[in-house]
Amino acid sequence: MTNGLRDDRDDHNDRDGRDECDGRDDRDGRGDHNSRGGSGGSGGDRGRSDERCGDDEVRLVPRELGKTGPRDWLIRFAFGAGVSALAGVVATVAGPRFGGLFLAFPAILMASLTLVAKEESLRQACNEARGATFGAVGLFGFAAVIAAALAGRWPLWAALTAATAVWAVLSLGCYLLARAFVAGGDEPPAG
Amino acid sequence: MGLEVVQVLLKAAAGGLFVLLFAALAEMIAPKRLAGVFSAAPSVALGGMLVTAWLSGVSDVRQAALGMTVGAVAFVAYCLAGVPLLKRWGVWKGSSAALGVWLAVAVAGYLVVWP
Repeated sequence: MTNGLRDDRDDHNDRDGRDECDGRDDRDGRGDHNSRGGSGGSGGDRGRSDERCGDDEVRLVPRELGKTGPRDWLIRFAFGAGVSALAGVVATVAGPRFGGLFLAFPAILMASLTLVAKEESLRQACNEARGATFGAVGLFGFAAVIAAALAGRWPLWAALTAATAVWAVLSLGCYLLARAFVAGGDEPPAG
Repeated sequence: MGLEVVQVLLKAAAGGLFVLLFAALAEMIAPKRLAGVFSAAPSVALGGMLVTAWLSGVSDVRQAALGMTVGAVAFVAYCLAGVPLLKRWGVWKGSSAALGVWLAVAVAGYLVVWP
């Protein structure tokens, strides 16, 4: 998401966040990121993914985990805890069904978008938002399966397991469909 | 009152841990559009529902899941509106405006389904 380490030359990332997303003055993806070696963490990862924008090959790279700084993990935990607490307070005040709305509150995505846009580019944030659409479709399936399974007297563990599987299948399935028929990779940089 | 506070704190801790778990998965995945899927993972829901089931019972979990279906529709609207809004207004204004879309769709949907 972010790494907190920035090379001054990373200033090519837009400040007001407009130029790169629509392709104007987009200098991402031209190899600058990797040539300096000064940006570690996930920002470095995103720099590499910038470089290969338009490449829609799906990869799992476990070593990238070690490049994310403790500050990033702390921020993520804080956002997760904050949203969960908000959902908990709303459920306590207005009842569990209204509180359930906030189990699909997009605060974590919003935080991610702002951090990605700040540390990298708005174009990458747009890519993240497009991908989140597929995850959100999966969220609907997740909630519907839990509601149906618990109405059918399934045990909680089975309902949660089935719902998580449905989320994964729906969201990844939507992604793969989009990849096959539209454009599954990241939005390529202009120029 | 004490139980409610404990419940909120436990939900916060559980939600934070699940967010870390899904974030770790997202960190390892490329391209970023696929990693973005994990920004809409059910991390907060899993944490919240486990604690709710433990302290309040399964019927509350089902009610929360029903409400979450409407919230998820609003989440889709957030994402669909978010990309053009980000392009038009930049990240802060764009994502804030998209949050307004989420709120409007969530509340309107809730009132339509459960008037």
